Formats: sequence, structure tokens, C-alpha cells
Amino acid sequence: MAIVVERGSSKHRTHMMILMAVALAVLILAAFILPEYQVGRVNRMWAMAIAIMGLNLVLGYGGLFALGHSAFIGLGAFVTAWLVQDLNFDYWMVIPFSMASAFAFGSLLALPALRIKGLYLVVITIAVAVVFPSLAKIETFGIAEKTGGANGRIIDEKVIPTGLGKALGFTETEPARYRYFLILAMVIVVTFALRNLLNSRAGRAIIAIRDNETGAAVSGVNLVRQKVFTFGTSAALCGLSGTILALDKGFVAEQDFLFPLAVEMLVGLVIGGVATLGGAFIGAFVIVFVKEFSKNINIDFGIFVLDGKGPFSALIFGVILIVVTFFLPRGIVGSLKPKFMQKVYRIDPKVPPLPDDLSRLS
Amino acid sequence: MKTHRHYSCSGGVFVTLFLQRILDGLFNGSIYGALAVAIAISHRATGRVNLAQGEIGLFGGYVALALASPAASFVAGAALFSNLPGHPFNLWVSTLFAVLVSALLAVVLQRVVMRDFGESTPQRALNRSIALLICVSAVISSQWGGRARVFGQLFPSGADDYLNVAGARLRYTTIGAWVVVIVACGLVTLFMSKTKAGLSFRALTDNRGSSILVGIQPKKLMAIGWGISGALAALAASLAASLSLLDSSLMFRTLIYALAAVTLGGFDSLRGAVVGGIIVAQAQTLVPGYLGLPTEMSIVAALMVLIAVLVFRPWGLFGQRPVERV
Amino acid sequence: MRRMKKNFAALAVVAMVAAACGGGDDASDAPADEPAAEEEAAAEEPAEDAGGAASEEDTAAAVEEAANEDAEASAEELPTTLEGWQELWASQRAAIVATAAEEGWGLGDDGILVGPAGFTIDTNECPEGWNNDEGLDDGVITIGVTTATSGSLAAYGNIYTGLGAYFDWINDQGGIGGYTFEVDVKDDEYVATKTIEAWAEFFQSVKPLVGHTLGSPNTFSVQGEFNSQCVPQVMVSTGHQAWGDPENNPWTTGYQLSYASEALLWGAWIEANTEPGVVVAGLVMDNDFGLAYEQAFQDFADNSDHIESFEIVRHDPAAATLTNEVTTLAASNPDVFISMTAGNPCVLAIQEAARAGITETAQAYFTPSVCKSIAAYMAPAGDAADKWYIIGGGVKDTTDSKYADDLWISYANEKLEEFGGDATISLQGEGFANRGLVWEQIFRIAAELEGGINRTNIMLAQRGFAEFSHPGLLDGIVINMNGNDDAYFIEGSDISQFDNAAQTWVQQGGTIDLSGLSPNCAWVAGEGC
Repeated sequence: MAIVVERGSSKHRTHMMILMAVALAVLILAAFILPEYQVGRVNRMWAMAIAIMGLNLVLGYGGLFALGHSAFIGLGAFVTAWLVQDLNFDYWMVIPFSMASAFAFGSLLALPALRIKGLYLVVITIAVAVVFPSLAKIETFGIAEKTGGANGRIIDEKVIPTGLGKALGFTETEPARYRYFLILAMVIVVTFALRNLLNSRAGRAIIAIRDNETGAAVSGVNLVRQKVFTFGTSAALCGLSGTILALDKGFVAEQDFLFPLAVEMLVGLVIGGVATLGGAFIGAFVIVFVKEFSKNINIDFGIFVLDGKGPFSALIFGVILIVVTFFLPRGIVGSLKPKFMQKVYRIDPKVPPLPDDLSRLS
Repeated sequence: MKTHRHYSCSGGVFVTLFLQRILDGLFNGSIYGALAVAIAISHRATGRVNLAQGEIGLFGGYVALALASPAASFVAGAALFSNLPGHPFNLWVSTLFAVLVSALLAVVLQRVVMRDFGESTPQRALNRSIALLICVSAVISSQWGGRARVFGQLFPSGADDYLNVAGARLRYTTIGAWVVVIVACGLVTLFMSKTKAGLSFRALTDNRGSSILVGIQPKKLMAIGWGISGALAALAASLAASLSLLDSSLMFRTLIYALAAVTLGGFDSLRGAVVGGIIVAQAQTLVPGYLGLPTEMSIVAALMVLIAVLVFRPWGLFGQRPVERV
Repeated sequence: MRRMKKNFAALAVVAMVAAACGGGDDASDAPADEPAAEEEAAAEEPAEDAGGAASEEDTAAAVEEAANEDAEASAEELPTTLEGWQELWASQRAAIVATAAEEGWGLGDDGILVGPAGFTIDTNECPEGWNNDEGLDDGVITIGVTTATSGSLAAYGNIYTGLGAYFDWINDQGGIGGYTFEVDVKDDEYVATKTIEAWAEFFQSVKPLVGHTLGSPNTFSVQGEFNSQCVPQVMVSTGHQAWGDPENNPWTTGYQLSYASEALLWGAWIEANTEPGVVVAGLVMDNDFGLAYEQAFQDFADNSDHIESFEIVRHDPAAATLTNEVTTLAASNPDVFISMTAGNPCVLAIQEAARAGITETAQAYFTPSVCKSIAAYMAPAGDAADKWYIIGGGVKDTTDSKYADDLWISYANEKLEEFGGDATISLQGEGFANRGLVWEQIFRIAAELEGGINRTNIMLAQRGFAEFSHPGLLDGIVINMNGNDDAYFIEGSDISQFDNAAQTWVQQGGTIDLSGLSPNCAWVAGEGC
């Protein structure tokens, strides 16, 4: 028996507030209940969620087949390492720079996207992701020094609670919990910003381009500007994700940003739900935690042993993806949410009030 | 003391080196071309790109290895095949058999996993093919991982097995690989123009709607398309392995170059795929050598050429602009 | 279309011709600067001794000394039975324990650990709640390991299959000091982010007594944590020289011959065995292995009057073929060819070098120590493998048929198989016959020190590892450390040449002994030691 509420009604608003409160409570409690090392993984999950949101923007909402966003995460991470370690930037100051540089490179990538469509674009973005680690090791312009080259680079200044943080109860020995809240704040801001973007004119333009490019152009959308903006923004989000990773782990290395990371992001997005807001979170959870859990699997079937260590963890990953594409073609959120909204909790549109003067109807 | 990242110019060496580079590129071109044709054929059949193409071919390569290796070699499957009379088989026989196995595997995967008979979105098909890529690769790693194997020589590939062309070495493996690829493409073309199934295949891809009305079965032909692709991919993997080693990551890079090749050639054109393979391989060897690009970034060379071509011809060299209705 | 094609073609030809004769050198090496640079180099002091490797003078001297020896002659009287070996090891361990007692090594009541040659750790700086006997109360010693067990570097996981089998064997014999052992391996996929997370989990939940990491970036990423948490990071699997830093990172130790030393040995061999004016070609894998070799050899070549030029081509680590790269190197007509790569490219480099004719025209060609395995890399290369030189790192390849009758190797391979391993995989043999034996000695020594097996005693056992005859290493290879004076276990090597017909490495001359000659390396990223 479905619960039915009217959008905007006080019942709806109350439910929403309860939901928010519960969600907030869970999020806050998680930071304290989970062991510190799991909180570290959750932090990476948040970072991946933001990155997947970026991928979602260009792929899910923008309809542009881009498969190379691991490069932008890496870019954000390296910029962070360079600015913090060499130029003594504060972590907060780094964020606009890393996002801006990622935006710039993402926009560059949009240029082929203007002339080149669909599958052709996939190949180019794949090539970019594949070559990025090599780029990080070249010596001209001192790039290898800034990125740490093949050995990676330690960021000496760690994000640890000070002053206010300590007053709130965070300790230096468990910095992940402290970072969790900083990162969570960024995640919330990004989520709301993205939602607002998608509901705005720019957002609708992006979706319009995805659904029917010629039609959109005819309707007055500036294709060039919009595509560049979409690519740039999605890259900027990945850049932010890279900064968060650098901030949380305190170490960057080119081996962390290889092409398989881009494939993982796509897999996460698909499992979570393309073109859904919640999908990024489910996807991030899958690629961080399901992968780790699967490594610990060790079942003895007698004739053979299913050992998660080794290639089988990848197999489990692939099988989940196949299963999702079969039974949940729109991803977990994309397929389950409509059913949920129909069967369990239905939000009816707002019924417009009847006019007072009915005489005009006759 | 000077340090050079690349050599510097000197007359006669220049010509020989130039020739040598072109000849080097020819071998890679045959492999990229073969895999690109595989991708093009499955694209013609289904309208989708199969990203798992390389791995399906690699699976075939390992089956060939298992058929050609004695049971004592600890190659997975060798013990199983040793029950067949005549095992271990000659490498060529094994490879041909493996080509059939790959074809079969491809058909099975298309029917059971992809199940894409035209009604799903390109996105979904891409996702499933990525899932296939992950799964097939994982199965290969778990069965045959551990260490790279010697595949054996399909053509003589020792230090002395080459023809001297104006000072450069044209290897027998290059000649052999191209013979194989040309014969394979020739067979495929014959199939498509002479047999009923082949003609139906062409009809389907050229004009889907009408051919269904005429009674052509798309499902069967898609299976055929994938089967042919699987076979060609296995050939590509075997050729690549015969020059180096059979290893579970052999087809990773090859797939990307083949994708570039098929994109360059136009997704549906077989001729384009082969030409694309040649061009990408030549770019890989000539651009780093002559334009100062670091060789570890040779994929950028392929990328540069690809972008350059697509900027002028967005549908590839031999591709056709799809009709779009607003 | 035709016109465009023609234009393209014309453009392409012009561009190539124009670029070919000038587009060669890097901008940074423009000819105009060269004479000045050479003068500068000559006028400069010889470069300061880099950490992690002996000085060039010492290296050259050691190489010369070894060349004059006979491979067999450097063998001292060694035991001929396993019992004999056991006795020898026991006496060597006892000597270390006795020295420890005499010199007063140990953890004082003031919390200061005193060790050999000025080695010291102030355990008061360890975190609150730090426990020298972490996890020992249940009678099981856990050794935490992170390595790549999936992905393209998964082959390295075999080392730990071997090591795990070794400890199973130890457990089967009753353990050490009343404890049994467990090797707990976590897959970090060679990604430093995951290494950091895995170690956070290890330090907080599993709490192993000691740890071990594989891979340079991975080891760097957690080295600080190991040292601030005061957990031994034992004999890490990477040849980077940064692990020889007992003053700043006392808890971290390396094991194998460092990449820097190996590169210097190439240099020393070249100077001793070739005429001046040598052109050296290097095929470099574009990752931490290859670039470390390249950097070290580059430094040597920069200061060497003997080497006229060092031609470098880097290759994509995932490349399926190396034909283009080797062709480019062959065009420079090298006198010496050095492969600085790892994994499957070991084989490809050998095959392609032969196919390009380098093995015919070059005077010598080297393959790196990480490519030593005959089963994995030399045999698959076929005839092309003949006559390749190697600075072998002094390790006996357990798949080399000439050791089929070697007392230790054959015994170890038997035991490896007994405890679930595969003796045809040389990395497993590496983990078992080479490393496992040393791990065992470390624990046995620690068990005899005052306080028994605990973290500080494990550090003392390593830092004071004065003398050990290792049958898994070639005769004459010294394996020792001495506190702050000698922070590297293995600093010597063999120079061997591959005999393809016999499928074996033939040692050239005696072993090169550089033990104690490598200065410590206080590594600073971007600057070096």
C-alpha cells in the first residue's frame, strides 16, 4: 500500500525533513562508529562520488561519450601536490586552482567533441586517459618534479584538526574522521550545485543537446559554448575529486590515475544509474567497498576455490555490471527509484486550486 | 658527453632508418588492421562497438596455446586437450582451431550476454561490452595468468629471418602476417558477396528496415557478424603473440590502437579498417621518430593522426555520414 | 577528396623531411650548449658520492678486482650437508647475539634502543599505546604484506606465495621461539592510494608485528607511517636506494642490490672493458624501475669521459611490442646496449635487439637484474638470449638447471613444492629460497636476543646482521648490515653472461664486493639523496 503525498504539502515537507534528519544522523554517526581506516575508505568513496558526478554530467546528462576522466582526477591531484608542497598553498586555496586547471583542460577536450561525435569521441578520450600517466613523467617544464614522477610524491602538510577542530573533539591520531566532515561538506555543496545546474536553463540546454542536437541548435542553444561548458565543468568536478584524494591520502603517484580508473568510474556510474543524482553515490560505494569486500572472499567449493585475491575480484565486478544491465537497465537508482516512487511512496503533482468564480466554465 | 633522446640526422642512415620504420610499422599494421576489421564487422552487424573484441581474441590465443602445449607444461586446458589424439598439435592447426573456438565464444556471448538485437540504447550496449571486457579478461587472468608464455613461431622470427630491402629488414613475420590478414579479409569478402548468408548480411547492414521486411533474420546475422569478428580477433591475437609472448595484458593496448584504426577508417568499412590499421601503425613509428614525440607516448601519435583525419572527415576516411532525422 | 589527399601527402613528406634532420635532439641539449656543458663538467669537482651506491672509484676498483678472480676461487670452505649449513648458520647467529650482549645493544629502560654503529631509535617518540610485543600474546606472529596480486603486475604476488610456503614450513618444524607465523597478504593493485588504505587497516585492526611492501611508490607512500607508528618495514621489495636511511627512517630496510648500484656497475664494466668513445643505448621502461636505472646511469655517463653518448628511448610499460623503440636505438649504432625494463619487456627487448641487428654489431648487451629468471625471461627469448650480460644482483635463479644438484636450491625447491608452491616459477623460488631464509634468520636472532622476538629486536637483528653465508646467493656475495655505517643488505653482485646452449648464467670472474661502501641515502623527493 503506497504512501501518497502531494508535492509541496505539509505532509510532504515533514517527510522530507525527517528523511534529511535521518540521513544527516547516519552520516555523522558513520564518521564516529566506523573504524578509522574504514573512514579513510569512505573519504575515497566521497571523492569518487564527486568524480562520478562529473562523469555523469558529461555522459549521462550531456550525452557525450567521454571515457577519459581519470586524467582529470590525476590533474587535480598533481596540481594540489605542487601547490601545497612547493608553493605552500593552503589546502582551501588549492581547490579553485585545481578545479580551474581541470576545467581548462576539459574545455580543450571539448574541441574535438564539437566536430566528432559518439563513438569517435570515446576513442579520443580513451587515448587521453591512456597517455596521461606518461605525461606526468616527462621532464620538460619540471613536470616530473611537480608530480613526483614515477615514484610519486609525499605531501608533507597533512590535513589535521587544529583549534576549532580539536575543540569539537577531533584528534590528530584519527585525522580521517576530521577530513570526513570537510569532504562531506564539499560533497553536499557539489550535489546541490549540480542539482541546481541541471534544473537551470544551462542544465536543460545540456540535456537538450543530448536528446536532440539539431533540435537544440534550432531552439537557440549555443552548441559550442554549451559543450565546452559541459566538458569543462565535468572535468572540474574530477579535478576537485583529485584534490580531495591528495588531501586525504597525503600522497600522489601517477600509477593511481591509470586508464582502468576511468573504466571503474564508468562501471560505477552505470551500476548506480546514469543520469540520476543518487547514482553517483551508489556507484562510488560499489567501486570502493564492493571491490575491497570481494578481495576478502575465499570460498572453497571443493573442486575449485573462489579466491578474491587476484583476478577474481575483477570478475565479480564484471558480473555485477552484467547483472545490473540485465535486471536494472537504468542502474540501481534509475530502475529502482521509479518503482519505489510508484509502489512505496508516491508524490503526486500539486493540484491547482479551483478558481473561485466557476461561472466562466459554462 | 651528449645525451640524446633521439638520434640525429645523417644521410644514408636516414633512408635506411626511414624504410626500417615503415617496415616495422607494417607488422603492427597487420595486427591493428585485423582487430579493426573484427570491430568493423561486428559494428556492421549490430551497430555497436564491441570493446571486448580484443579479449575474445586473446581467449582464442590461449586456447591455441593449450592445444599446442604438452600436458606437462601446466598450461590450463593442456591437460584436458591431451585426451585428444594427436595432442599436442602443430601450432598452425592449433591456431586455426582456436579461431573457430573464438568465433563460437563470440556467438555465445552475443546471444547470451549482449542480447542486443537492435532495441537497446548504444549506452547499454557499450556498458555490456565493457562488462564483457572485464569478465573475459578476469577469466583469462585467473586461468592462464601467473606468467607470460611462449606462443611459438607461426613464421620464422629469428634474428636472421628477413629480406634485405635497401638496408632495411623486411621480416618474414611481417610478410606472413599480411598474407594471413589478406587471405582472411579475402575470405570474408567472398563470404559477403557470394554466399546467401553473406549477401543477407550486407543487405541487413545497408538497409535494415527493408531487409527485415524481405524476411532476413537479423538475429542470425548478428550472430554471424560476431562469429566472424571473434575469428579475426583470434587471428590478431595469435599473430601478435607469435612475435612476442602470450600474456594476459597483450590486447589492452592493441585494442586501443585498433579502435583508433577503425575510427579513422569509418566504423562500417572493412577497407577503412585495414587502411586505418596501416595508418595508425605508421603514425606510431614515424611520429615519435621524426616529430620529437617521446616514444612512451606513442599513443598520442595515433591520437594526433586520428584527430587530424576526423577534423576533415568526421565519419572517417571511408565512413558514411549516418542519416539523421530531426 | 583526391586533391586533399595529395595535399596531405605533400605536406606530410615535407614535414617529415624538415623535421627529420633537425627535430632530433631535445631542446635542452641544443648543440650550441654542448661545448660549454662539457667544459663545465670537466672543471667541476667529481660528483659527490650519491647515496645508495658506492662511489665510482670504489665500484671501478671492485669490478677490476673481481675480473681478475676466478669464479670458483672466491668460494670459501662451505658446508656440504644441510646439517653443516644449519650449524654454520647457528654459529653465525650466535656470534651476532654475543656481539649484541657485549656491546649492550637493546632497548634500555629509558626507552632508547641502542644498536650497532650508532644506530638508535627513541621509542619515547612512538605513539601512545605502542607495543613492542604487538600481537604476540596469541602465539602467532603476523607479517603484513601489500603487493599487487591482480592487474598486469600480478606476477610479483608469486614472491609471497613462496614466502608464505616458507613460513608454513617453519610452522611445520615447530615455529621459532615458540611462535608460529602467518603471512597476511593484501592486494594493493600497485596503487599507492590503496597501499595507504591497506596499511591503515593493518595498523588499526590486524596489527601485524612487522610489515613488508612492494613497489617504490607504494613503499614511499607508507614509509612515513611505518616510522611514526614504530613498526618494522622489513626488506621491502624495491631496489630504490632510499631505504638505506637509518637516521631518518630507522624502521625501514631494503634488501636487494639497489638500482643505482647496478647502473654504476654497468658503467664500471663499460669503462673496464671497452675503448673510450663508447655509444651506449638504453631502452627504458617508463615507470619507477626503468627511470631509476636511467637516472643513475645518466649521472654516471655525465661524469664519464669514456662514454661519448647515452641514447635513451623510453617505452610505454604496457606496450605489446618494442620494435619501433629498438629500431630507433639501433640507428645510433650503439657499442653497448642496456635494457632497463622489467616483466615481459625483458623478453621483448632481447628478441628485438637481436632482430634489429644490435647483438651483431654491439660489443656487449645487458639485461637488468630483475630480468634474470631463466624460466620466465631468458628461455622464452630463444636463441636471441645468447651472450647477454647481466649484473645479476648475486641471486641464484632457482629455475637455472645448473642448480638442479645444488644442495640448497634443490632442497628448497622440494620444500616449496611440498608446501604448495610451484618451483617452476622463479619468483616463488625467490620468495622461498632467497628471502625466506633471511627472514628466518632475522626471527631466530631476535628470539635469542634479550626480550625475545619483538619489534626492536627485529630491527637489531637486521641492523646488526654481521655475517651470514647464504646458499641461495652466489659464493662471495656478502649480505650484511651494520647500523648507521652500512644500511644495505646486499651491495655486491656477479657479472654473468648467458649461455644459450646450456641455458644457464655463466659467471664472469669473481663476485664484485662493495659491501659497506654505499653511503646512506637521506632521500628528498626531487633532489635525490
